[in-house]
Amino acid sequence: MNPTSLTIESARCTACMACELACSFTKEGFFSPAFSRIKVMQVYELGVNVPIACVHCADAPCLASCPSEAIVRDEVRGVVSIVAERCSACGECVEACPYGAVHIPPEQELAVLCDLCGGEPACVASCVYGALRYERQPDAVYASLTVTTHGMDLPQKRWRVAEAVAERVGQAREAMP
Amino acid sequence: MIRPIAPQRILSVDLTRGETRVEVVPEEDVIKYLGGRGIAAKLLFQRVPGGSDPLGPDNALIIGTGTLTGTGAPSSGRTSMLCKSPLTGLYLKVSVGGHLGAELRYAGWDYLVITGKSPQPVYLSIADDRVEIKPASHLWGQGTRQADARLKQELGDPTLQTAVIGPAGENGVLFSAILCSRFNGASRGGIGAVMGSKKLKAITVQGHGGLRVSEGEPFYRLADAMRHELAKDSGTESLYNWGTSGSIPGLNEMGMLAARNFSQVTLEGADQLSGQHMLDDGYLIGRESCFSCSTACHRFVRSLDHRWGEVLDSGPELETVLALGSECGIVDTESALVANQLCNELGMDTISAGHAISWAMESFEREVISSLDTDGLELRFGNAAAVHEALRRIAYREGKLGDLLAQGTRRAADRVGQGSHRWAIQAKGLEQSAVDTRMAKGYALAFAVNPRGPDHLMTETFAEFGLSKEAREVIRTITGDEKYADPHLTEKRAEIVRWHEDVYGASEALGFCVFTSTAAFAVNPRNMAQLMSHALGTPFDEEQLMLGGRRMVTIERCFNAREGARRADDRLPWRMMNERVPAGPNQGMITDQAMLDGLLNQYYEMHGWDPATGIPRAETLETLGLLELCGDVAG
Repeated sequence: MNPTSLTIESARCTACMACELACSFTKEGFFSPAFSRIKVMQVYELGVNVPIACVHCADAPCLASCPSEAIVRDEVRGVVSIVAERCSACGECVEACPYGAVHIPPEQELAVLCDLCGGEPACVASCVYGALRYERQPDAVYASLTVTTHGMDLPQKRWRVAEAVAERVGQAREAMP
Repeated sequence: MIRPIAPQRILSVDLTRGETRVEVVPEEDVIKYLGGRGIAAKLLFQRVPGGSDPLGPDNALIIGTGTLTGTGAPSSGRTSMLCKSPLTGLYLKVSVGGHLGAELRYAGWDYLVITGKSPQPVYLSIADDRVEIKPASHLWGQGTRQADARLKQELGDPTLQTAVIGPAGENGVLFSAILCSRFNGASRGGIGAVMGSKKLKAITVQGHGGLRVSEGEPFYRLADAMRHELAKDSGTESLYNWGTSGSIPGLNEMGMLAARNFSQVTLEGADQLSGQHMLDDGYLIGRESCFSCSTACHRFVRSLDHRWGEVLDSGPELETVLALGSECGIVDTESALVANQLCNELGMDTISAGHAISWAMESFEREVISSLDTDGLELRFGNAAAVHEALRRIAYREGKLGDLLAQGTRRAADRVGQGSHRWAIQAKGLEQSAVDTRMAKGYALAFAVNPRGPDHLMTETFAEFGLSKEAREVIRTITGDEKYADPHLTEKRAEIVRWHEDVYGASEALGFCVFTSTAAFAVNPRNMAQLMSHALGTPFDEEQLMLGGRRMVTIERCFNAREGARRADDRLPWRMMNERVPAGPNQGMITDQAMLDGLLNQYYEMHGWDPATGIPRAETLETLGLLELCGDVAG
């Protein structure tokens, strides 16, 4: 098993939200960012936009937290996904994920996360800026973050992660000649 | 709530009574008026009685989201904001990008109609179906950035969308703006002052619903194909690389760069203001999109030597660097970034602010006004520090100068007199955008008949320059022959203007950015109509789309007719009609009254408007199905 993840390059993201629309349309059949498995956070102060989605951690806290074994890993591709029939929408995984990548859409009884669309992610196809790619590599961004988001609610958690990534993009930018 | 595209919902808010009301726009009206700017124009006509005080409780601030906003249609996130303009006393539509419109639709609302006047500062909080009018005294006086950040913190949601006014809107500056989604200005005509007059500091929107189009798969496939086609367009490439100010080197070379209050058409060193310079020298550090856009023309920039102050903010547009740069005789990148940031934070239109100041500079240099009138400020061309100080004084209406310029160039010239109207770059009271209309006859006509005053964002006939194969193809479609892709010709200009009016109206009603349909051409009447058809699940063709655009233009004209506007108001600034292009390849060119009269005759005739008054005839209104709505003003 080799965990794979979207390759997210925040420095190229312009916050057009095409990925959120592609995701919700592909997964749900309608357009709604609230149902998207990928969420773009706009860190206005730094002018950096940070897409957040499941990176299929090698040691996935959501998987360990699930009381009903609804979260499973595909041992061949390393992809973590949710078995809808087993999910009770208890919210343990939402709380466990340090990045805010798992959520329960409004008025739904089911948690959702990015399953990479079986290998052809719709969000990647929608991104004309090259901010999202699928290169079947493990995550190289989140794993190196040192932020603590334990106990935060979903918007706060996503915001904290986005700020940390944005600060890093900002520093790289400052170092430009 | 997951909703269909139509019927649509109106949220009416009466700030005097503190009451809200919900209304429904039936699908047949969405088809007839296309939604967005179209329905908003109809609502404005119906709800703001003729002769209303623009800063009184009877004026309405109307927000209309595009009918396809919130779907995956490319570059479809634009929102129309309407009111009666306090600057012109006439119809005002402002189009704004960003993410506000999509968020409103996800919250379950397609239109906001805000009337009345609150006794105390308030903000309107919309979270799906929960609508509250909340106290905002603690926000009053704050800059737009500061208020935006504070609201996100207070409501505990860093992703909510806002529309905010700054001190300029609170103080009734007649060209104050509303800043949306932090970076995007709804700026022309004093729409911010209307919001301020209602004591409405801000609107916050949180939406968790969605939109379902009728024929999902074909809609998605077409939208996706359009998105990728648009991203490949050469116009898009330039806008992505350099933003709107990427055209500065070309304008300067062609002798079309507005400089020193339109007294010059080139300016040495103007490339300092260009998008190319901002990229090459490291001012540009990020690019931003409006909702669902594959162009990302919006900039994020930083200052480098901080000579005039530190900047880390959204970047200046072409019109901003012209109005506050070259028009004031300043070719300094750092100064342009600071002036832009000041206008955004204080909440002012950069085009009107720049032209009010450039008028004052020319008046000062001609000794029509003196340092007694400017409270000591040396308002000479090239004085960057004076521009920044003037902007601050205008926003707070401070001293003689601040109060004079805060009322706009027309009123300032009326007060100062001494022939200063000759260099007041305004018509109908609106400062002209920094586009020279003397050599481009389609532009001249479009600017003269523009219901909000002479500028490029109601109808811009860029295709008449024939700069690309696609542009020449558009001209051939309209006129039957590519040879009319020549801006110096007066023939066929009425046809070209009318086609662009229809396309602008239709684009904005659906939510499309006009850059994608009239500067780049990947979005066109055919594919817009196809998307509408898939979205509504009913046959809908190009002709219906264009007719919807025509209805909008006609309602707008009727609104102005009711306010007393007539043919004589369809004009251009004095300098544009009386002083010839002074130098360069277009030297000697002009669109004078006689030439404009010829263009107007063609144009009114084509529209079925009375050539003596410029008012639509009753039979024209009947043909368009507008007799019931607008019949009382028919000519």
